[in-house]
Amino acid sequence: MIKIRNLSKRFGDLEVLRDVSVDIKKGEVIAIIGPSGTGKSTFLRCLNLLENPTSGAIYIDDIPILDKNTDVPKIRQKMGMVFQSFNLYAHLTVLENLTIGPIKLLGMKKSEANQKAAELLKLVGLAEKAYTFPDELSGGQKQRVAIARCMAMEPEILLFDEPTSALDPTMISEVLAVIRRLAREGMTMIIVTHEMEFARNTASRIFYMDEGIIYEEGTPQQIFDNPQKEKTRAFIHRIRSLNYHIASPDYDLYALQAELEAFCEKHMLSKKASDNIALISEEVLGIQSNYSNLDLSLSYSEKDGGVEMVCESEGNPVNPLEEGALEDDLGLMLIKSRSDNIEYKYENGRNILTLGVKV
Amino acid sequence: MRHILSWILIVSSLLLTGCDRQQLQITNLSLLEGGKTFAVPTGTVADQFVLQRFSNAKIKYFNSAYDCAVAVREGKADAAAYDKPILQNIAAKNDGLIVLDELLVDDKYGFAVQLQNLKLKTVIDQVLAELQSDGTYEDMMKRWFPEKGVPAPMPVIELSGKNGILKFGTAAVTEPMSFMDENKNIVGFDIEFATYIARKLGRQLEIVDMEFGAMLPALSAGKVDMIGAGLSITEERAKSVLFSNSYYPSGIAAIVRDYSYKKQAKTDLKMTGVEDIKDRRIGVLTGSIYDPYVTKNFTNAIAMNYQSYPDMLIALNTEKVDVGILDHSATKDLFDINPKLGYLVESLFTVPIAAGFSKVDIRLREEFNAFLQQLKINGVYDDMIERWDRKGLKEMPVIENKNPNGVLRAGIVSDIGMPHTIMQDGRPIGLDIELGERFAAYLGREYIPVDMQFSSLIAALVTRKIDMITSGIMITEERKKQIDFSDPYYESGVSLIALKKNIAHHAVTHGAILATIDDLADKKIGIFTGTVQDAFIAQKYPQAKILRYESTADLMMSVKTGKIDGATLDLITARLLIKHNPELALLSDNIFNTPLGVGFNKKNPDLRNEFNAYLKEIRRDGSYDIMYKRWFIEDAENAVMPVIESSGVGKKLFIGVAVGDLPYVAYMNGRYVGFDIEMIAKFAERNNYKIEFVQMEFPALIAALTAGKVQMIADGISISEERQKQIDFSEPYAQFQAAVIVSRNRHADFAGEKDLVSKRTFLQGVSESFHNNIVLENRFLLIIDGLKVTIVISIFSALVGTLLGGLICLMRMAKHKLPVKISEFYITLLRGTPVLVLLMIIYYVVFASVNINPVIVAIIAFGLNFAAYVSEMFRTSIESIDKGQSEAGIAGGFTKVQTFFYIIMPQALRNVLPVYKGEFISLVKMTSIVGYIAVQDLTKAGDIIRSRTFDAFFPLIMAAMLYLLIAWLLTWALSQIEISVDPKRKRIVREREVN
Repeated sequence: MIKIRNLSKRFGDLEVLRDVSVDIKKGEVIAIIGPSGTGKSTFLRCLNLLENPTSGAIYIDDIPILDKNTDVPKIRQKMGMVFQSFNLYAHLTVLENLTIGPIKLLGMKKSEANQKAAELLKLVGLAEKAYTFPDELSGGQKQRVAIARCMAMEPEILLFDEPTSALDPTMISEVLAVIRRLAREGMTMIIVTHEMEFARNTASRIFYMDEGIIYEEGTPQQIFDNPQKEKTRAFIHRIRSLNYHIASPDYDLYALQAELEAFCEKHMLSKKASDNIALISEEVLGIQSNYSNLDLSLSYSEKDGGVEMVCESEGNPVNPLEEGALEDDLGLMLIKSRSDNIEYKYENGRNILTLGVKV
Repeated sequence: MRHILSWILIVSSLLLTGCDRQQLQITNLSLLEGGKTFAVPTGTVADQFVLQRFSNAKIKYFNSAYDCAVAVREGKADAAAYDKPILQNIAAKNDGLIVLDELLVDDKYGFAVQLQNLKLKTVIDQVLAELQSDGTYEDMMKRWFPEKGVPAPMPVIELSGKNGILKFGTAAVTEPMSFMDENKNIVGFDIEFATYIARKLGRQLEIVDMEFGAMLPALSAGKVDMIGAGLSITEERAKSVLFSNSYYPSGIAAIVRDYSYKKQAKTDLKMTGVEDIKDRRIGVLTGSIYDPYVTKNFTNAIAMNYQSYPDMLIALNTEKVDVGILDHSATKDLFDINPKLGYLVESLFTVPIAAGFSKVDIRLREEFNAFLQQLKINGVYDDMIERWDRKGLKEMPVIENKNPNGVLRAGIVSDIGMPHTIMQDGRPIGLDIELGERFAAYLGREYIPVDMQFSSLIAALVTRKIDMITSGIMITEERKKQIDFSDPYYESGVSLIALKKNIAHHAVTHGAILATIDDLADKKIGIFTGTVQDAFIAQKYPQAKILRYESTADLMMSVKTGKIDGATLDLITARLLIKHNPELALLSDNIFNTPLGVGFNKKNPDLRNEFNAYLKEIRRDGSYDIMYKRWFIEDAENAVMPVIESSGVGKKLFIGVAVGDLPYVAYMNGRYVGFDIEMIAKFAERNNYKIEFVQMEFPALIAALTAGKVQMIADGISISEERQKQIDFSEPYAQFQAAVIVSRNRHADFAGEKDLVSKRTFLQGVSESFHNNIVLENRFLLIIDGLKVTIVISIFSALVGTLLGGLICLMRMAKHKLPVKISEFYITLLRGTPVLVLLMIIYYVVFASVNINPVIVAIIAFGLNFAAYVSEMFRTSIESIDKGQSEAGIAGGFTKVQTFFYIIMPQALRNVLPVYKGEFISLVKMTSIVGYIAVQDLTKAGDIIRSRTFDAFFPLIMAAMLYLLIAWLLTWALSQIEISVDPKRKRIVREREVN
């Protein structure tokens, strides 16, 4: 359905997309993930020519959309885009937002358009809000209206540019639910997202974009569980674990604790696990002697549900597990009581303490 | 309630005034009956005469006739009785007293000679008869018995004295018969009479002054030849002397209080000269010669002592003292710092100034005199006087004094003033200082000035604390007793100074009162802009501040409200103005004349020649005289403009006029009237032209003529060289006389007049104003017409401006550079040019010589200006819609244009409306300037009415109210649109639509 050949996009001196070539078939749900600034949104916006590619070719249903003679607006009518900032038409009611396109562009009759629109609103659960104005809706509602607006044009492809990034966690789920439903109904969708869980569960294919190209692509299993390439792995890993760097004894313990808590929430760890992590991290840091270059990391293995904490510090080899190494044994006792598999090694001038948190 | 209050006020004020004791004005003797109190001088027979007439009278005794009169004036007695001439003299010199005509007792004065000296008596009688017949007697009466004031001085009468001496005994205490004047000469009626007698006899007159009571015995003893001093002829006396015929019909009269005279406060009386300081407070410098001078010479005055001149000046300024007496030289700089003070007498007398030395220090004094002599010889003295005295320079030269041996301590008074000594930059300078320094150098000693109070100088010198005094000290006999003086080195005059407002001869020419136009030389003068008076006044009074006004009404308002001190106008206009505005007065009726002419385009000499020919004709056939009389001689306001039919055929001529004032051009009863109008209308009739008058601002007339918009201009236009550079004039058809008007209460002639404020209530004033400005002569029609024009121009300019603005906006937001640059240039240009300037450029430059309706020009100009602002407003409101919505539109399949029209524009429009409303109203108000291109809008209508009624308040307020009304209506209309465009309002409607 969509064929992309050697797509490149440059903003001045900055080359955002280097050389992208890929095919997208009908009914596929593509999730595009990757670090920020790697051209994910740019790639998406090139597809409907919101950005003009510097070079390359894009074919939608075998029509070269970069050709001068192509009626681009017409093609766009077949593609819907959902924006991070919703972009609803402020001067029109929700219903009118949905009907303006079909009436003006598809030549639909008003009554027909209204009817269709009402149905769509029902689909997204906002039938009640037909006569409200966008500024009277919450973020999640706005986004759902935006999706319905796209649907009103009966598109073949839907493009989502970080649809949930502007929403708070409570609203994210309602939007994702709608998207999932569309996916189930066989809509071809390309979604740029940071919601890894969602991507894993809903997408049929994952693009990991990095270095201006589609660095690695594959099924969710392939990408999330078995990333092949270096960077992919690093990314996957990074999103799975929390890394905290400490540079001085005056580090912000509370910030650290907050991040740990967020991590726990994200991975939906039990309260017990969360408490243990908090306590252990505090104690582990408490028994350190050198704070000048300390890294604390927490990683979660989905496979076995285990949580591993690693603490790396500089300085002379000090094994806290040794008797008498510490002034006071209380901390160590607490640590030991809540963790298992405590290991210590000294490598490359760094003390490395690894332990598994009891979950 | 109000009635009762006013009655209470009236009654109480009557009561209060009645509270004055014996307020009843006594007009004849009968009113003195019934136990009234008489004041009488002791030692006279006046009391007898009083009791003779008024048996019940009470008598109070005083020392002199004068004291009696004072008693009467102060209410201590009802009347004083004494010899009539003496009482008359007192009444003449003192206000508040009046002598009753009726005499208590008749009395006659005569000269007395020895009983046996019939010969002398005959001569006396003869002389009397002669004097009476040749009128001298009458002169004498007038002279010695003036109605008011002091008797005139004694005339000089030549006496040969070849026949010996005539001894005349008199008691020189009875003014005005025989008394001593200021110069201690014995003068009087009797003295003059006696002199004539002596003349007749060919003898010298020797006056022997004595006690009154001694006169008779002296005569009897032959010590004098005749006596006279207001001597009454009585039977008693006639026994021992021989009286001449009565030369003065006297009698005992009564002097009473004159209530009709209101005693003015002393300070109201302005001083004219040194006589007036006799009873004032005179300020003197302690220890100066004036101290004793004042005490000795002005016994009735109060001498106030001050330690320094600055102290005295402060006292003068705060009115603690009435006049100050000081060295003339000290007054030089004084008036600059104290503008409220002026000379009462600039030079009373002069006194020599010298340096003072101790009596012991003879040598020093002699050295000083030698030094002074040297200075005079080598010219340094003259130079010093030139610099310090005449030129009043304040530069101290450097005087070399090497290796001084010893000191010269000179007592100085640092604030005595120029040219002697003043302080500058912390050190004393002046003539006296320079003199001292030079002397010190001459002696080879160090000069040390010792600053002290004037009054301490002599004491310091005597006690050898200082070696000499140089501080403008005058040589006096008194001082010579204590110190020695050098030869004089300066002549100082003595001046009297006082506050200008108390000096009679200052009041007229200084300050607020104006007597002649020269008084305006340093004031604010208003003139009609663009007229010849501008150049004239600027040249004649370069110090004056000239303010320029657009209309006579403005000029007049400014004079009335005190914004300018005087205004120059055409004389006839001025007269008309004063007729309607009694608060104005004519200061001068002829400051200059200029000829008036009708203006023609230089390119059109034929028309001009035609007109000149016409002028000649009408002068010849008398029509000119009739016209002139109608408009210039008689009251122009009542003139009836003859109806002159302009023939329907013939070439069309546009005549530019400014509707200034009568008698030239005015707009009354819906048509143009005035001399110029009649003259031109007649011209058109005779030469077969069709004329149309075009009205504009005066300064615009010439521009309109040169641009070809009109063929002739007339409105009392003066022919001037400046103007002749641009246009040609016809032969002069009248003379313009310039006059100056000022506020009446500042005019010297009317000074002191009570304010003539016509008492009208505010409402009365307003309704009168309303009638004058709106109803009279159907003036409201003018307003309606003006209103129509304003509305038309406003709406069409807005339309043009909005459309053009949209276009410019589009260009401004285009992708290509060119349209962007063009639109940016347009916006900058139009926003940076004042609308008035733009308007005139388009009318006079762009459309010069094009016959275009000025209303269209106005619409173009305002439209262009409006577009510049509107385009930016549009752009801002468009850019204020977030880009996301555009993207959503594009992404949704809309073209750029569709996105703009369906999504952006509806929202932008809603955003721009509030600001647009404001700009629109600004536009409406801006249109008020179209008068400059001869469009008669609402503001101009107000101006025209104002030029007729000279009323500022009503026409302006009316115009303002109408503008407000228009603005309000338009705002309302736009708000309606705003509401209808608000989508939220239509939600309910839409809901209903869908379901």
